[in-house]
Amino acid sequence: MTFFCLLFQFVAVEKLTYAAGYIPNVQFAPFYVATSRGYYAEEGLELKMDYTMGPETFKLVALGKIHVGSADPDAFLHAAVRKIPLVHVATLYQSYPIAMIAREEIFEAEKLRNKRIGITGTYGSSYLGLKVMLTEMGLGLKDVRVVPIGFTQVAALQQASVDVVVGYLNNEPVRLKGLGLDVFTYSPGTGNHIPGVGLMTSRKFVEQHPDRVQGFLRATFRGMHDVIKDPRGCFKLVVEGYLPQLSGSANYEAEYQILLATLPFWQSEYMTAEGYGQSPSESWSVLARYLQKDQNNADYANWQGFIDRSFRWRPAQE
Amino acid sequence: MKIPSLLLKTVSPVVLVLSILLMWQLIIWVLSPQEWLFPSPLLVWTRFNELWHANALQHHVLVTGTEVLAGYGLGIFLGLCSGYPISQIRLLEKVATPYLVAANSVPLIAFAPLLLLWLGSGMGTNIVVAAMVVYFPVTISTIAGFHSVSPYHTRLLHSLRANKWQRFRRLELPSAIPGILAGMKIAAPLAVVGAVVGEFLGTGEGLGHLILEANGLLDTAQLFVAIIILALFGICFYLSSLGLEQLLTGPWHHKRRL
Amino acid sequence: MIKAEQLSKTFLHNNGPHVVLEDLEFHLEEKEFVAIVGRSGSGKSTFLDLVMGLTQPSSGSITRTKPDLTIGYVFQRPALLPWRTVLRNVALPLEIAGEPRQVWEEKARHSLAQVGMVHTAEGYPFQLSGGMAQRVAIARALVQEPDLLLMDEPFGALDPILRDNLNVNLLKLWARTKKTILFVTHSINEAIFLSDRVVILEEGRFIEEVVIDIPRPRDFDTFHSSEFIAKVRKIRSIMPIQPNLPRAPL
Repeated sequence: MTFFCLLFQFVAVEKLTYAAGYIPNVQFAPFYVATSRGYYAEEGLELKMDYTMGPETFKLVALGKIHVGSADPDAFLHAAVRKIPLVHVATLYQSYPIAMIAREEIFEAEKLRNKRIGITGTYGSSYLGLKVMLTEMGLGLKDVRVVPIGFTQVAALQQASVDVVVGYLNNEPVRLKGLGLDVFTYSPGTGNHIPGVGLMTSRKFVEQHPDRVQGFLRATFRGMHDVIKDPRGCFKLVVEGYLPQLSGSANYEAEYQILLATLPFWQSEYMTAEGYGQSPSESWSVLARYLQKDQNNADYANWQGFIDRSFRWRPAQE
Repeated sequence: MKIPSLLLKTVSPVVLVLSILLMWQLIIWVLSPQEWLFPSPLLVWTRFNELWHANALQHHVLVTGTEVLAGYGLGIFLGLCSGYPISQIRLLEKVATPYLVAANSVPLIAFAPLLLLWLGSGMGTNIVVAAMVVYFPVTISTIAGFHSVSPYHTRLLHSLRANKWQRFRRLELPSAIPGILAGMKIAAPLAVVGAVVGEFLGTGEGLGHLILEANGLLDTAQLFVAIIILALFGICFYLSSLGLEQLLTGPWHHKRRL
Repeated sequence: MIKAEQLSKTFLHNNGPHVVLEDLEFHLEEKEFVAIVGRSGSGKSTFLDLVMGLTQPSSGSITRTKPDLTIGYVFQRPALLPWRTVLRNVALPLEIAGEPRQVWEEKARHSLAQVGMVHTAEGYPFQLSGGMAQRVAIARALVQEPDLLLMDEPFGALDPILRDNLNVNLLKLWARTKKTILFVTHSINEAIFLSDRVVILEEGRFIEEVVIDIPRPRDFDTFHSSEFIAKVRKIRSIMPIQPNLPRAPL
């Protein structure tokens, strides 16, 4: 009897690798919580986290070396235009927390002109976000001085080596406030909301194992729901299991603040109405239009073929 | 039938390039990889033309080219200036050699992020990084070059009552040139790497930036374009050193008997 | 032309002073061909350095009758600069002295002609055999038309047949140019063949002088003549057989 149970265990649990796209940090709490509480196991899955950085994850997922990966929505559309066989299956962040951050209130055209804006690099989602925000203010790239600063946003503002940085609302402002500095932020207007970070898999994988994809998504959003309902408890769980270097350190509370600041981005009216899992179709259109103009390429208009918006999950009523 | 060597010299690089292109195309035909994974030569060529006509390449090529040239030149200049005194003053050499050897063994590009923090990002920093990686091998080979001066020759110049400057110009420098050129040849590709690493860390300009951009846009063809241009830079610099070597030492080197 | 009195030279080494030359008396007249014979380590090169003025005596004196005596020097090895053509190698002393191009080019060619090597002028040292290179070195030593020619075992590294050949040619050259030559060698045969007198240097001292009155011109046959053999015998008897002396205290 035990033998059959063991055999059943062995056969039933499928390994599934997820490329998170960054080094381990609190924002991956939903995954950590879902693993700790056995949600993946219940779906017959064993999750393995992969921390490869950057756009490499796209190629790895497309080649089947990794099963599921996190996807910046604009990078995903670039991949789609290159006909890389990927499918976007769910949205984790209901909105993109991109923002301009400064220590003074300078977010209007005349005040911002010729100021130094620090950005990670002149490529990628943050660059796109910057262009969107500048356009909203009626400015172009040539009206400001864009300075690449890698990942030194907090230091750059602290030392005033730039006037503004492009960062994320749930990250730099929280850290700066923690250092006792006042900050002002500016985010893209409601008309320019684009989807936040999402999840993608290869076309082959979702065609061959749709059940595993569904199971993965369900368990992940269950984890996310838990974190939203009980951030303190889940934070403790995450630190103990996955970020031991934080326990007892000076950064413990600071990182918790970041987690709290992240929660609003996982939620929205749309999500409350429709359930976890997707972004409004309109937000994808906005993004596609923008990229089409920016890259001067009409292929971006065909995004529907790559984005599967069928998955939804609602928590069981408590 | 004897093939004239000049003909051989001009034909062989062409043959080399053609054979590489052929092998590349062969791999494409045999393995049929996806375009976004491994583009064909034709695709890369097309992308190159697109970028060139959109004026998206020229500025970056110029930026990286300037960084490599300036870094190479600066590194060589400093290397020669420090190599000579170190080779002449025994105490200085004893003190300096361990540091030089240690620095040459450490992957100096690991210091690039640190330099970026201190000096800020920009072409200047990239030039410094390139100069740094060029400096050490050039200094070491300059010292070796000046050490290779034959004591017999030194005695000869001494017996002819040559002054210090004449000794340097007519004996020490010509003796050291083969060694110095060896160092310059080694440093050529290093200069390219040094300049690009700084760009990778985000200056927003140059071929390194094009590579990052291509990566972010998942545009593998553009990636290949940038990489090939960088490779050509390295080859150009190497060939110039080789040419210089041929010019300065061609008639007589490698055949020393006396 | 050259006069040495109570000439001594001592070098200081880590393990004590090393007396190389002790109390030498020497004189050299114009147009003489004098050979200094001694075994390796007897101080021959040091003596030549003193004559050249490259080093100063520790005690005693060495005087030159002509105040601005020009001296040409030929080493054991040709020491030609590999990156210069043969012509420019010969011209080197003149270039260092600051002569203009026309002057040194003409003089260098003339010098090469004297040793029969003009045809190699545009070649490089690596193309020359040992004997040819040494002849070029001699041309270089002669290019400033020196009053005195010092030759420090110039043919020591060459094979014996070539050596004999060069000896004969050297005498012809000497007869033509009428230079004063001071020739250092460790070959007794060579010393006798070439010189008017042989000075024997042993352990830092000139222990004997042998006049060579064999008639000139001398050629290959001279090597077999009875006079020659007699001189060889005489000098051999003077030079004791002892183990080699080190260059510096061991």
